[in-house]
Parts: sequence; structure tokens; C-alpha cells
Amino acid sequence: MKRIVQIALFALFLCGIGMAFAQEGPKKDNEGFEPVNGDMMQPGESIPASRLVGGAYGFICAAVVVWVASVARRARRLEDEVDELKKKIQAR
Amino acid sequence: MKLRPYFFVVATLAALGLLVAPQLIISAPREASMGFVYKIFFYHVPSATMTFLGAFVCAWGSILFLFKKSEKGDQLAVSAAELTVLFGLLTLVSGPLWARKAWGVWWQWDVRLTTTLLLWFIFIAYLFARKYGGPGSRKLAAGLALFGAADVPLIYFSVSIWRTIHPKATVISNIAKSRNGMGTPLLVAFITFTCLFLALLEMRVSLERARARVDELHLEAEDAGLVN
Repeated sequence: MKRIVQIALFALFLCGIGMAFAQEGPKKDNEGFEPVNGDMMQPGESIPASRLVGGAYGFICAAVVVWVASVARRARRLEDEVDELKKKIQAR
Repeated sequence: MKLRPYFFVVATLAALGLLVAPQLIISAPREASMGFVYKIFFYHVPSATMTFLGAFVCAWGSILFLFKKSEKGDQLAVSAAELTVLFGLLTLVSGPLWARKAWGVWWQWDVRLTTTLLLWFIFIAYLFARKYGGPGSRKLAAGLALFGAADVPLIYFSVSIWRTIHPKATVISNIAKSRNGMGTPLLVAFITFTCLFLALLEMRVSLERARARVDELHLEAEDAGLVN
């Protein structure tokens, strides 16, 4: 159970790192492509691309962490059920 | 909850991939027509692929359950169905974020998008049937899983059969073959998502195994008259 909580915390940590990277610009363009800078707004656009990309990555990481936490919660309930069963058996 | 040893291998690989992939994706060059927003592609496509993989694994488990009465098959099926819903959600959320910039709209009732949404609803229905369907619901859900898996080839080939605004499947192979720095992040993202899928699947299957064991214990205790 502790391991699952540790994994969930680690996933949260990775999510933070991913978001930090998502906010950084590219380091170098060495093959003739236009380097990424700022929000890459085109004329007439209202939503910065970096916000959409960051939102997508953030959502992916958050959804995985929530799902892992949900599995951990269900596992904990199951362990509680086993403990209760053991107590009942021992009481007899 | 006992996790099999391979879990730790794939979980470590997934964690490493999650550390490396964002760096590679950020340093990948900007795509000519879509600009920066195309970088959603590196997680959107692997998410969609894992959705399909989940649907196939669920169908395989359902076949084992329906025709061989395999409890392990049923455990695998319900676990994979949950992952299909999870990765399907990631696909259905990341896609519109990309579409908003690339197409100018959040959603389009395009064949690929609609059939993907349909797949997601089928697996939501699978989980609802399992949870609230009562006796016999496992067989009903297994049948649904087969329908869901049948939708996957339709999604994949929809861009070739019908006129659609969604990019064709050949875009992926072109990027994978490209020598301009887009192939490596895509490969790393695919490996990362595959490892993540396998790790999450093992977690979920081990929960089902533990649940089956607890049910057995309940029955044994009741038979022995130890509990009511």
C-alpha cells in the first residue's frame, strides 16, 4: 500500500517536472527549423499554443495520478475488509 | 496487493520516459504549418494507441471469459476496460486542445472523432454494466467489449475510407521516418506510454486478484460458520 502511495507521489513529481519543461523554450535549432519562442501566437489568434500544449500535458499527468490514487484507495478498502474478516475469525 | 516483478521494470522505464520525453518533445523542431501546438501530437497519438491496445486486451480477456470461463480472463478484461476509458479520456481531451489551434474549433463531428467517442462510451457502458448490472452482467459486459474492439479498425481506417479533416495514419510513419528530430521524441513517447500502460494494467489486475481472494475468504468463512 505504501508503495502505491509512493508511486502516486512520484507521478505527481514527474507531472511537475513535465510542466516545468513544457514552459521552457527550445534550446537549439540545428536543422533549419524555426525555433520555438514565446507563445507562438499567430496574428488574430487568441489562445497561446503553449497554454494548450501545457494544458494537454498537465491533464494527462493529472488524470494518471488521479487514476493511480483511485486504485490505491480501492486497495486500501480491500485491506480494511481483510482486517475486519480476520478480527471476526479471531473473535470466534 | 501483490505486484509481479515485471511491474517494477515497466514502472521504472515509464518513469524514466516521463522524465526524458518532455525534454525531447520541447527540443523537437517546430512543424511548418501548425507551429508549436503540434507538440500535443507526441502524447495524443500514443494515448490513442494505448486506448486501442486496451480495447483489444479487454476483448481478449472477454473471449477467454466467455468461451473458457477463465476468471483470470475476466480480471484482465475489466482492468483493460478501465485503462481504455482512462487513455480514451486522455485522447479525447488532448485532441480538441490541438484541434482548437489547428482547425479553429474544439470539436468536429468527423468520422474519426465520432467513432473514437463511441469507443469511449462503449467502454464506459462496459464498466457501468459490471458495476450495476447485477447477476449475468459479466457476460453482458464481455459482449460489449467485443463490440468495442470491433470499433477499433473502423477508427483506424476511417481516415482512409471517408473524407475527413483528421490527419491520415501515414503522418505518423512519415514523422517516425523523418530525419529532422521528430522521430526520436515520438519513439520515446510510444515506449513510455506502452510501459505506463503495462504498469497500470498490472496494478489494476493485482487489485482484481486481491478482490477475488477476499471473496473466496468470505465464502470460506461463511461455510465454516465463522461469520454470518
